[in-house]
Amino acid sequence: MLVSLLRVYALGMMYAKWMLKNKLFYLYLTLFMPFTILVPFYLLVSAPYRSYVAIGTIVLTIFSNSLVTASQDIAVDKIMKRIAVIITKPITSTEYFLGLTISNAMQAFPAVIISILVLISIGILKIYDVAFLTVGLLAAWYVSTAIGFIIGILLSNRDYHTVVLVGNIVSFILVFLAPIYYPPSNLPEPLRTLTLILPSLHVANLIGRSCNVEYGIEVNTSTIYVLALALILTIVIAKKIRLKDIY
Amino acid sequence: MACVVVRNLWKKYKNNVIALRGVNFTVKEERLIILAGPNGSGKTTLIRIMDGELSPTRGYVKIEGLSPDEARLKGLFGVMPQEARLYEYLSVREYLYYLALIKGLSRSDARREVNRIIDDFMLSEYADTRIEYLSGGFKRRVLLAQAFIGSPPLVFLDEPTVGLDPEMRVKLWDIIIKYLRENNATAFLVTHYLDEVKEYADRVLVLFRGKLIFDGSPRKLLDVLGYKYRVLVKVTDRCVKVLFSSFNFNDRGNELELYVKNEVELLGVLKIARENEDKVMEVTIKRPSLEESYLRVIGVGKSS
Repeated sequence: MLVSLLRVYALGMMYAKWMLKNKLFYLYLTLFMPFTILVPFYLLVSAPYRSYVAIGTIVLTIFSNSLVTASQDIAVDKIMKRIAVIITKPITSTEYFLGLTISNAMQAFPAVIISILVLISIGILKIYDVAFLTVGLLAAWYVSTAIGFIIGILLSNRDYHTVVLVGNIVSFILVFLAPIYYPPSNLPEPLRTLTLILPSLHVANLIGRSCNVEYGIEVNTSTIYVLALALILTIVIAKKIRLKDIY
Repeated sequence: MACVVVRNLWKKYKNNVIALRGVNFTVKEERLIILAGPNGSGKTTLIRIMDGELSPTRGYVKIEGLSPDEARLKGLFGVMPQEARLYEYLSVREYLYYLALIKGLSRSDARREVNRIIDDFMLSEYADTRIEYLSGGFKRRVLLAQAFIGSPPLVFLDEPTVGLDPEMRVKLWDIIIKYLRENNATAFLVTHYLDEVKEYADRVLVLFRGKLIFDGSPRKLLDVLGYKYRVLVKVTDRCVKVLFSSFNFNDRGNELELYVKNEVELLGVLKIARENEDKVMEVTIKRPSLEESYLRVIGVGKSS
């Protein structure tokens, strides 16, 4: 097998344990963070847009969490030089990335699930298609962690602040420049087409499709886009990202 | 024992600092190789190229005929990096267990291996304690212990005992040497405590400003000094000094420091001292240390 699942699991646990052992942070991420974002947005917007706000917050939670966490994890490990212990073990860049994906999923999964359940119970979201929801969520985790991993590794040396800044900027662009919190039809035309390149929009479209929320994009287009992007990022990580000369 | 070939190794960093300048050596039969040199001489860079963390600017490294990356993926070596921190929120057991899985061991083998490592490195007392609560010395031991997971045939140890008390250093040297003997393994060891490991070392490599300025056995390094014994003779009458003029010596007022090449010369010195015991207060015979030889080599490196 090209990837050792045990290695992926071990690495995922090494990173996730911090969050799992710090109950307060975990509670914050699980319950508090999504709702501190959701409530003001919810109060500010009118009823037709509330489903968009709900989906936007789910995408924001996953993207900001996974992308920024992955890049920060690597940046911190570079500063503390503890990455040396990992990258001198028989681990590939793909296994390292998948380990971080699992870690991120373990950390953000309860938050997202609880958010969705609450949103369903208060009637903001109605799930019609669990398959689309699952694909959308998995794609969000995978793509955002991959981007964060590449940022963390490629921004070489030990400049933690640069890595954090770049991670936050990319995460911000993906979540707030994409028409996720509102229908894309609200954007003027050249911008609307331009935002089609943002993966967060396609992830939102897949999740939206599971709740009958329209983003004006064919579901096949988003599925193909997300799968192709995931494939490209996987190939880039496997073939181009070397666990070498990174600090 | 592991075969390591280093050929014409150069490393120039992005800031134009040249860390290594054409380093060459081959290791085949040696068990313990000491890498010595002053701070900034390129020791850590050399280790980091050999363990695959860094690419050389020029030249290559082969471990058992493989590139460092290939050797790493086959789990042929373990590394204790210099100054690396640990995942402090994990317990010692968790940390070693996850690293054992990453090393490629099955769950049951990993558990067994962790128990062995915990015993070997005297970590049982704190095995289930979070690493953040351990003292600096214990953390250092955990970092050292992880290099031996999976019993690799080659280990790179970058200053493994720095900051540890002398008693613990002796214990850890014993553990390392025992491991190397039992597993027929090879270790590259960066250390400033040359004399503590000289009896175990098979070879000493001295780097200075990126160049390999000495490559040989500890005995050969001692030979660099040109004398085998250092004899301190305290005299009451300075006139007696002339009797020792046939020896190479350093005059320190009422004390002479004689550099004696062999046992025959040593007997000669003792004979003169005995014949003039009314004028000689004290004779002290000292074996020169490896550190003295090392400093001589570095001194030659500086002047050339």
